Formats: sequence, structure tokens, C-alpha cells
Amino acid sequence: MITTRLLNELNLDPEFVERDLQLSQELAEGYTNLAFHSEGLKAKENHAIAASYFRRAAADALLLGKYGSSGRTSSFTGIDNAYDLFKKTTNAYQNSGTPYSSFTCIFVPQVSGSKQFIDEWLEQLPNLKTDAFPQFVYLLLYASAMFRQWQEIFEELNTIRQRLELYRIEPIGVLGIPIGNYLDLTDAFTSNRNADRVARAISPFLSQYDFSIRQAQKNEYHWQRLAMPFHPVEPDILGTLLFADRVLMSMDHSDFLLSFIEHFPIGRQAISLLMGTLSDYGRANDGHVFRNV
Amino acid sequence: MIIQKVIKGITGAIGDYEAQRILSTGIMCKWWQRIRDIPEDEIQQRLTEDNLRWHQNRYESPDPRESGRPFCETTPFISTTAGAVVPDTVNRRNLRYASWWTALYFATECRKRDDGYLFYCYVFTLGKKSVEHRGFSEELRELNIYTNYSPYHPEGEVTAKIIIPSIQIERVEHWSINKILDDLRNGREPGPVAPPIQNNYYALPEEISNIREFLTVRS
Repeated sequence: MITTRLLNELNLDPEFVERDLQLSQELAEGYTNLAFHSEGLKAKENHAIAASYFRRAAADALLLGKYGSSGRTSSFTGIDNAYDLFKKTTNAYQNSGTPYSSFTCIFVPQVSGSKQFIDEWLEQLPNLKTDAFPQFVYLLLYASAMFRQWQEIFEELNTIRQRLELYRIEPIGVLGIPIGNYLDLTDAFTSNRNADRVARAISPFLSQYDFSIRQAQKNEYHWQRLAMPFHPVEPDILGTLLFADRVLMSMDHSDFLLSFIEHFPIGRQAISLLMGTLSDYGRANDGHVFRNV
Repeated sequence: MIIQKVIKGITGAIGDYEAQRILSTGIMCKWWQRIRDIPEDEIQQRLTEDNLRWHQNRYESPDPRESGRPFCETTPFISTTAGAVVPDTVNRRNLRYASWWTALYFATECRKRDDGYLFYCYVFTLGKKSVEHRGFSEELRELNIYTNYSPYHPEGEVTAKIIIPSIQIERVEHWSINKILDDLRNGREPGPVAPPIQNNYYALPEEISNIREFLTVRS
């Protein structure tokens, strides 16, 4: 669990994070409402803005240990927990027509592993703008983690996989991680699933996360105000690790990932943030992840 | 040379009168605000790359050259935002925030107070570093110029120097977070509390070429 002590060590003020959570959630709900009052592209844009704020609120909730669970409803305060907020994040990205929703749904166990979910995205492919294509790397990640035989089940994804190779060195997401790193991860999920190969494939994500955290902390003014594009418990990293965990679980390596992170040569604070969040968020959600912790 | 439109957010604590006064005096750097009469010969000494880095990365840290006074109290720079496009598209970043929101977020300290003033201005940039030239702003958001990785890049910072003269400030708008939320709840695009206050001294930049608009989420 991320303790107040860890937040203090990180020079983060829980009150500020709480305020940011509340504001982000209110803005997200406001833009969702605005989206339902608008049409076409404008509605999609508003859903996308809402999704960004829900995502931020969900990460704030993780940082504050408000994990929530799939079996419980939100608190009476009107502030949702991380589980509910990730659910809303996923819906909002889905409504905005962004394949990134297939990434955020790893935080919401009930919607994971749906074949129909992938089919619906594949149907939309011809209508998407060209510059949205690299986002399909998230759908590929989802499919490869959820369906071991995805290449046979979703033939169209093979073509997408080949086309994404052209974008290998392009950065994607808030940490600018190259698309190639995601492709390596999906390959590790697919062929001869092997824990060491998965571990190698997640290493660049851990290193980039650690580097970003350390760089961001050097700028105290911005860091304390969470005024950076990524979050101290960045969903892009946590989600990737959750996908990896899902695959490792299928190989009966349920405790492999936490142990790997614990011994990975990155800063103590990065390790504490990742382990604290992952183990407890998983535990709160019906053993979805790290059930043996 | 490029004319870049930017937004400067200032806390709502200053009030309407002061906001209106700033329209005619210009937006001064904190150094000028503190000592009121800046020595001309010191300006050049302060416009250095080291100080720009202090401004960017150590804004509130004690500055040993100023007897431990926080750097923000003596900075010759003025942070503004223009939004930013990272090398890929907005869509690929999975995040969408407008430049006016970045300015308001800082002006209100994430809702520590409810309101802030947004000054709509333009500054001049060169498309390359020009730290010692007070007339030109630095595009810290521009990765082709400032190639060091900055996790804060998407803030879209454009850093002005010493003063943004009145003639370059088009208007000021008073924004309230409660009003924004209220607008959204009622299905309206968010807008300022009151109509903008226009600056009579403002000189239209349209007669000069190469104007770049600040980014909105829909640009």
C-alpha cells in the first residue's frame, strides 16, 4: 500500500492529491455531460477530454489508496474509487472512439477477455483516421494477453501487427515509450510463453518509468502540483504490468512479477509506488492480480 | 521571427482592478515586481541559460546567489503557455488538455482558490535559442530547440522575459472553476465569469506575418 509516509518521502501532499482527484472527477463528469449535449466529432472530443480527466482521477485514487473493488459501490462522499474511475475511463475512451480503451479495461476485470470487444474495434478500423492507427497497438496488447491463440482467432490483427512494425520507433503514450516495446511485449505474450521473455519485454517500461519519476521529482514546483503529463502511479505502466501479470498467471507464475519488480535495478521509490499499488489494487479486486501476495 | 499567441494565468487574488491595471502596465517578471525599479545593467547579467534552467526546473528552490531567496522571487522570466504538440498527434498521447486550462490550473493552484485571470497575449520567438535577447521568448515546449527530455513538455511553456508589454496583451478574462463546472453540468461550453476586458493599447499582430495560434483541444 502507498502509505502517507511514502507520499511524504515523495514530497507529495495528500491534500493536494485529494483536491486534484475531486476536481478531475468533476471535470470528467462535466465533459461527459457536455458530450451528451453535443454531436458527431464534437461529442467524441468531449468524451476524449472526459476520459483524460477520469484517467487522472483514477490514478489519484490509486495514489491515495482508494482502490475500491469490483463488488462494491462508490462511497457516499461522491468521490469514486480507482476501480469505478477506471471503469468510467474505459467507457469514455470507448465513446471517444479511441482504441486506448482496450488498454484501460485491464483495470476493470469484468470487461476483460471479451472477443466481442475486439471484433467491435476491428469493425471500426476502416472508419478511423490514419493518425489513430498506432493506437491499435493497445488492442493488440489486449488480444495477445487475453487470447493465447489470438493470431488464429483474429486474422485481421495479424495485418495490424505487420503494419505496426512500420511505427516501431515512434513514441506512444504519455511516457513516449516506443511502439516497438509494445510489439516486443505482445510477441512475448504470444509465442512460447516464457516468464523470462516476458520479464525482458517489460524491462524498458520499468526503466522509462523510473527515469521519468526521477526527472520529474527534480522539478519540485511542478512535481508537488502534479503538473506533468504522466502520473506518479502512471496507468500506462501499471496497465502494462497488469497485462504481463495476466499472462504470467496463465503460466502459473503468479508471484513472478512482484519479485521481478522488487529486484529490478531502479529507484526504491519507483519500486514502492509500483508494488504498493499493484498488490493492493489487485487484492481489492477479487484477486484479479497478484492473488498470492 | 514568429508571433506566438500565448496565455498567462494569474491568481484571482489580484482582483478586477489590478487585472485591468496589468493590461496597461504589461505583465512584469517577478524580479521587476519585487524591486520595482530594475537596474538596466543587471538585465543582461540575469538573462542567462543557467537562470532559464533555474526558472524551468528549480522555480521555488532557494537561490544561493540571492542569499537563499527562492528563485521565483527574482526570476527575470515569465512563464506562459501555448499548448504543445508532442512529436506525435494529440490522439496518440491519450490526453487532451487545452492551453487555457493549463494556465488556469496554475493560477488557481488546482482549485486552492476558485478563480484566476487569463491574459491573452502574443510574444515573439525566433525558432532557436535566444536567451540573452529580452525581446524574444524561449519556446521551452519546442523539442527541436530544447532537446533535453522534459517530463513537463506538454505544458507548452513559452517563456517571456522581463515584461510582456501592454501593446501585446489583447484581453483579460476572469475564470472560475465553479463556473466551469456549472457550465459543463448544464451542457454548455465553459466560459469566463464575465465578458473579457479588452485592452485599448493592444496592437493587432495580424499585419505581421507568421502568426501561430495557441492550441486548443480542437485545434
